[in-house]
Amino acid sequence: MIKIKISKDYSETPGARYKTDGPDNGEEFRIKFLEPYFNDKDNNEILLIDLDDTEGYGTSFLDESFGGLARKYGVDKVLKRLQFISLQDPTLIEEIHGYIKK
Amino acid sequence: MKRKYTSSKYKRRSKILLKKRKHKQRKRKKLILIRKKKLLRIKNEYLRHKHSNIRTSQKGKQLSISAPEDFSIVNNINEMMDFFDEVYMHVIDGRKRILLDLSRIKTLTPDALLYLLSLLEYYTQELKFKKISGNYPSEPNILKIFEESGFTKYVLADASHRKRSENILSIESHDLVQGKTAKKVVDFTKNKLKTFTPSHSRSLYATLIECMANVKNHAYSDKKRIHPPKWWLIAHHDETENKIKFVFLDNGVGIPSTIHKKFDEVFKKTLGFNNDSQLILSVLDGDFRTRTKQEWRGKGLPKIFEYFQQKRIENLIIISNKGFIVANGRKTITFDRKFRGTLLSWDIV
Repeated sequence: MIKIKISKDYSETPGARYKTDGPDNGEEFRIKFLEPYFNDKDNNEILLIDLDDTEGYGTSFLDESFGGLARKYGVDKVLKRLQFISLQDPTLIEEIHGYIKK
Repeated sequence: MKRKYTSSKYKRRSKILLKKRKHKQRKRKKLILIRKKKLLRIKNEYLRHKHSNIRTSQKGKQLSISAPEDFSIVNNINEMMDFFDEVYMHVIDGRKRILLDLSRIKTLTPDALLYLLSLLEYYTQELKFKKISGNYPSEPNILKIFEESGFTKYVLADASHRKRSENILSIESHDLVQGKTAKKVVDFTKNKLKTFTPSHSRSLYATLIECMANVKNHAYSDKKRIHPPKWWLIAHHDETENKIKFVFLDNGVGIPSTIHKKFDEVFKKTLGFNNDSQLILSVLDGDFRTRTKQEWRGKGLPKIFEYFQQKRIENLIIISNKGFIVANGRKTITFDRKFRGTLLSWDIV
């Protein structure tokens, strides 16, 4: 299992959707931190995403990071391989699942 | 020696120069005519919807335009629009220097400061009109807010009118989404409101990111603009009511204009949307999801409205184009003027 803590590994202040929107965006997070594990066909490890300890999340960041991943690699594959920790705001997990399934 | 004016080369050259000069003169006349028509259109629009008489006075080539005593968009929108339309009319006319006379202001809300800043930037950077200046309010309390808000940082003024205050997070501005600025606002709020929970803190951060992201992605669809749209943000701690008032403004095309670009008139009339206020309400409800035709987008404003419904933010007001929404009770205010951009104002108690 591979653990990614967004606040520590990426940013405490997540931004918006695209690189052109500004720093710490969802597109960059997805490309740098998530896609490498999906591009490797031999890798089926679970990715455990820790959402805690950031200042908060905009909808576009979450959608581009996780919804964007599902749009590229397929809903089932993403749901199978991503797990989330969100003790500070448990509603985020359901929200993210919504973006993945859309 | 051949006399110059008889040589055929000289005759040919002067014919070409004359043709170019005449072309320039025709172009200049055309531009003057276009500007006159635009000015007439603006003047007629202004006179049709005018609610009050804005005091003006002229001294030589300088025209002084007096700001309303109640300098507030949220509380006095019609008189404020009269004032700004009067200014705009003279900016387009272009013949006189303009002095914004702020000396008579008796009450001031931060939204008016942000709107004034955004318009000044529009006049000087987009319309290239630089003959505009202003004075300071005479009332000491109002002058204090003016100085502490950081307004003077953005205009050409000496540093003597810049003061810092613990109760005001001075005006921030950018054209991109800035998480660090949002964090600054959240930290200011945490410092002032001891009952501010981590959950509310995350909601506030998310609200600010949504506002900034909306400017970047939806507000900029006017191809005539030279510069991308910006946002301005201010937070003010009201000690007597122990609440923080936030104002966020962008100078984009506005929410209703963005919707109009996507949906045609027949479709909108079918759904019963006859005015900008109704369009904004429907956007808050999650209809007309996004200009981009991508179903997974357009959740920003509905999210902000969700925070309001969960009482994480209070007294939400949205003004955009001709729409004016007071979220408490889903009230719409009749408003017949065009507000340039989108303004969101909310409180946290």
